[in-house]
Amino acid sequence: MSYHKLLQKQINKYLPEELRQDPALQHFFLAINESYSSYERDKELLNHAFSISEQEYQTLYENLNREYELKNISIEKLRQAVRNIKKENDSDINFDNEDLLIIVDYINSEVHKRKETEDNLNRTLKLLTTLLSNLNSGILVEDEHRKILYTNQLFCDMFAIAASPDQMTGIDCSDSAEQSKHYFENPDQFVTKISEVLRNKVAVFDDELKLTDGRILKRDYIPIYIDNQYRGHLWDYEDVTDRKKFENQLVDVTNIQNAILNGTDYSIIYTDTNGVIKSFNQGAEKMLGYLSSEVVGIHTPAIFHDISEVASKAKSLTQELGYEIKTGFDVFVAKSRNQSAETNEWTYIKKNKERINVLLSVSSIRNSKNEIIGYLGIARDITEQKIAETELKRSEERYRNIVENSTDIIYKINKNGYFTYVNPVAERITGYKQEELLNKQFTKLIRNDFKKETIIFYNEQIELKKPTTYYEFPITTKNGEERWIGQSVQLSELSKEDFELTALAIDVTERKNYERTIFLQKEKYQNIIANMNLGLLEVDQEEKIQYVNPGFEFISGYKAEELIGKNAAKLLVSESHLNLVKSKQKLRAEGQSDSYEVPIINKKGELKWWMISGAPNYDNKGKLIGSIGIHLDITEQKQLELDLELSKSKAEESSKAKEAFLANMSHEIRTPLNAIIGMIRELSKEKLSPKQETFVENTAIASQHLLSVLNNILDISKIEAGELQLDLHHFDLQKILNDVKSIMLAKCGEKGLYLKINHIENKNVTFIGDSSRFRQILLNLIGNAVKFTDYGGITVEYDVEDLHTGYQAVYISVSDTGVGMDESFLKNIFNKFSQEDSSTSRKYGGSGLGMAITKELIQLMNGSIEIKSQKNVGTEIVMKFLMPIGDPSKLLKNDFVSVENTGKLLNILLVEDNEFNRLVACNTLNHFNCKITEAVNGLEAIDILKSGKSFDVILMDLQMPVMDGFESTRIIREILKIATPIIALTANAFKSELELCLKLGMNDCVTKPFEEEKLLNSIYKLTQSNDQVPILEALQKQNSSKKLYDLSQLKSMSRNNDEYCKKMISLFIEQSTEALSQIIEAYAQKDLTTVHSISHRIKPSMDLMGIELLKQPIRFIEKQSRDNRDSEELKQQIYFLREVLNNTLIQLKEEEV
Amino acid sequence: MTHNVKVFLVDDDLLSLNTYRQGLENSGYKNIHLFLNGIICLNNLHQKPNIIFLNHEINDSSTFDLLKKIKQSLPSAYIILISREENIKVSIGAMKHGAFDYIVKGDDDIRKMNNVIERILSLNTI
Repeated sequence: MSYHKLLQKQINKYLPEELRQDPALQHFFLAINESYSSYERDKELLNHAFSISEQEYQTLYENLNREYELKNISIEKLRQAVRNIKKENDSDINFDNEDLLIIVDYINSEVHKRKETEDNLNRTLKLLTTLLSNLNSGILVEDEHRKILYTNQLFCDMFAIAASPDQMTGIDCSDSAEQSKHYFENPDQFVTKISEVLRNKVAVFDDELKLTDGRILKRDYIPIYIDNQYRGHLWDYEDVTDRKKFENQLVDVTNIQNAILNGTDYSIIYTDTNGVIKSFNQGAEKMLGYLSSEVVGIHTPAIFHDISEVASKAKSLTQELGYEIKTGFDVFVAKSRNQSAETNEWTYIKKNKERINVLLSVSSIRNSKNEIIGYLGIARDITEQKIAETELKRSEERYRNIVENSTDIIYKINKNGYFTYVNPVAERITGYKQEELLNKQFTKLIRNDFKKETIIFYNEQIELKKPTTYYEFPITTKNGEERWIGQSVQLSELSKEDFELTALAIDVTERKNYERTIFLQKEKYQNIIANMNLGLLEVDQEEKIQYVNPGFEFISGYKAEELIGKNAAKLLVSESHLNLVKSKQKLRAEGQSDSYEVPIINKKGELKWWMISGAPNYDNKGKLIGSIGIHLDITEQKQLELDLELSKSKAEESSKAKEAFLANMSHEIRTPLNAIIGMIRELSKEKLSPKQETFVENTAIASQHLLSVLNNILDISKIEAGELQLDLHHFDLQKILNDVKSIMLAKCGEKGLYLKINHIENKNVTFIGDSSRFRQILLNLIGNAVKFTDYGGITVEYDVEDLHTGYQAVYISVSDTGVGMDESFLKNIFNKFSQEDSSTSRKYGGSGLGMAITKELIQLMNGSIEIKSQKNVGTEIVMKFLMPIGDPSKLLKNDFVSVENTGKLLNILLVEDNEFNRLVACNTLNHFNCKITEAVNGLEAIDILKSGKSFDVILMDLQMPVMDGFESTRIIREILKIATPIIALTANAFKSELELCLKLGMNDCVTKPFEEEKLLNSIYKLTQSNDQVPILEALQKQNSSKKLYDLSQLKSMSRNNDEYCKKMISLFIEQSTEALSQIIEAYAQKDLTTVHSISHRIKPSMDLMGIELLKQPIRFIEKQSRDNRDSEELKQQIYFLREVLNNTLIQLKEEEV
Repeated sequence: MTHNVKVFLVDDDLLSLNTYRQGLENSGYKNIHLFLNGIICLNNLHQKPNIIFLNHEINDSSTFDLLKKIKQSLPSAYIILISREENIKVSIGAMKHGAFDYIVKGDDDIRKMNNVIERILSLNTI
């Protein structure tokens, strides 16, 4: 336990230790300690109270001091204030006086004054407030603490403040910017700006604020300074939205105006009333090349005007206006002074002296008092327009020319159907004049029966607004003609209600007529097909019937419905002919058409013959879809045909009988005649008395005449039988004529007539032909002439004319001065047995066959004959031949002389049953150094030959008893193998017989009664070893063997198929016959290319047929012709080919087919 | 085998046609068809011949046209041109237009034709 330190000290000092522990003491001590502590505490409390009182005093003192000072300051300030307040005239007051009362009095008076002033101020303020509240601006006045002092209703309205302006007063606005910023477009900027303005405290005017609702507000800020002290500010908001809008528009308009003024190509020049240029826009600069600076201030008319133009304009204006207009500015404005504007064309001269056309519009500019203050000239460059106008005019001209001169009709009609334009073609085609048409409605021209549909057609075009249409219709022209018009019509709408039609029309009358003709024809043919007696049948590829016409129904007896879909062949054709029909159907499939006859059974079961002409039927894509058949019932014709065939065969039989009769007759007549002529010839060689000589001569003439009549009859028979053949050889025409002359001269002499025959020098007169037929023709014609001429004579003239190589034209005319003929008779002159009348016949005699034979012969020689005759004046006969030129060196020798000259004795075997004929022949031949051995028939002859006697020539009669000449020849050639030349003697001059002779191996043939010359010539030919004619030589060689061909190759190839061989042979005959004539003809034309191609073609087939004789020649011909080498040898080879091939063909025909 | 080969012979010469047919028939080819002109031959290509012998006329370009048409319609067919005359141009032209061979008409046409057919058969494509 611790005690108060002073106590402790006392204790420690005064009290022993032991006492210290005494509890009583201790308690005592504790009580003392307590006293100590209380003392301490009281002391502390006293101290504390004192210090507080001290402090309070101190503070009071200080306060008093401060107050005093303040008072002093206040008084000083008061003084100062009073001094300040004190007006200058109050100088007598001394404020430095300590006496405050003076000041107070002063202040009192001053306050009073102030009160009055304040009242005035309040009144003013009220006035101001009223003013502010009625302003068109929203006003907000704040004090320096941003408390609202004043606002007006407009401000509240502006910012949609619900409170009234009075309620607003006193509200703190320091946060208002942040609160109201959402009204503005740039809220942050608005806030920044306000704070900036408030910071600067400098007046800001005309701040533009854009509100989000589109309003634009103008804001003024006015800080309020009172005594240079900031005391608040005023916000003045004004709604300038409309004004702004208006301003913007104004700017736009101004810009536009500027753009127009400067951007335009128009030259705009403004002058004052005196014509001094005040403004010159960019357009003008551009147009004229002058700069504004160059011309402003210049007087118009200026450098860019044409003074002479101005002068002339002045003159015309003077005239127009009736008072004088001087050349000068007046010219431009004389009119516009009174009127609003005047527009004229002018010439401007550019700075580069180029002249341009302008359209100048001058208008006066007036002020508000309607006084003219200047002139505005607006000019447009119309140079290009001018050019374009000229161009347009020209093109319009051109267009009009085209339209007017068009070959088509061009016209326009308006919506009422009246013509508004027609071109000249329209006039020409309609026959109406332009004026007439222009007063007409288009429909008036249309032919009545077409009017309705035409109008309907065009109404439809108009209603449906089809831009173009084409239509054809007939019109009636002014003179009543009908013409068809085809027109393209273009619809052009002029406005919603108005339109016009432009038509381009052509006259299609011709085409229409043509179409109508075609239509009618089609109709006609369709009618024909439908109604014809021909049955028409269309079948598909399965042969099913697709269409039948009524004709087919009629001829078949079946109805169409019975036929459609059926197979016609199966229905109608008998089994035996089905194959034929099938083969025809196959042909259709190959695209071939042909016609054939087939027997059918109709529905009634009757047998009918149909002629069917079938053709494949294609669709329009060319695909075979079946066939079309036209069926003609030819049952009757068929019957006729059968009858005809019957009668033909009868006729042929009778013709054969006639031929046989003629052959027999000629033999029967010739044989004795032969004897008579021969005997007379022999008799005339005897020594006779003059009288006897005359008799013999007359007998000879009579027998010759008889012979010629007989020959004529034979000739005509041959001609009729097609048997007459020419014997071609080289001959001299002049010689023939000379012969004829010498023959006819005697006859002419008898009648006292002359006979003139001309000679030709220096021209070829050698030809290849049949000289004896020539002679025959000439003798006949001259003979006739002599016969029918009693006075004057006969003139024969001939001439030749060179034609293409190898040929000459030969003209021969025989004219007389005889009785002549009627024209009517001339027509019949070539008919058989015709003489002008029976009296003529009696008077002049003759068989009447001569001219017919002559004509036939001439035709055979490819010649022509023409007769001109005049009764009692004379007759002229002109013949014309085309003859191949002959070789004079190959003329037939004149002959028996040569036989004599050979001096060689000829051994001749004469086989002849007729005693007289033997006698004649012996007599003849004996004259020519011949030794004759006679045999009465073939058997005797063979006996003689068997006995080993050899002869140079055998003369063989053909018709003999016991064994005839044919049989004998066969035995001689085939059995006896004797090659002695055999000459047939025959009274029968028929070709068939001659061919048989040659075939049997005879070498020549002489007709009886023979002429010495001919017989001798033949003998001579056959006995000469060096024969000149290789063809005959080859023939002779060949004749001695059996056949000209060898079929072994063909047969081996065909494996002995006879059918095939026969077919091939007939093909060969057909082909070679044609080929041969082609070669001959081609060679005659010297067309070696064709000769080559044909010879090349037939070569293999000739090899196939084994024609050994031609193996080399055909190759020779082929080679020569390929090399285009013509030669004599080629010619001979071709002739050789002809001879051999002809004979081969004859043989083939007889032996193989 | 040989009996199945279908042969077309085209020639305007009936005699040649028949000769060739007989010759080929003798070699055992029985399926032979004759045509006198190219058009008919074309119209019968649906018969699908294996071999076609085509006669070529001197200076006749239509043969090549025909050849081309046949080749177009029936590419599988072997076409042999038979010409009357040896001509390099023709032979080249024939090959160019797709002919298999080219025979010049002469003395042993049939032997040549048989050879060609044998050659074709040895190709084993028919």
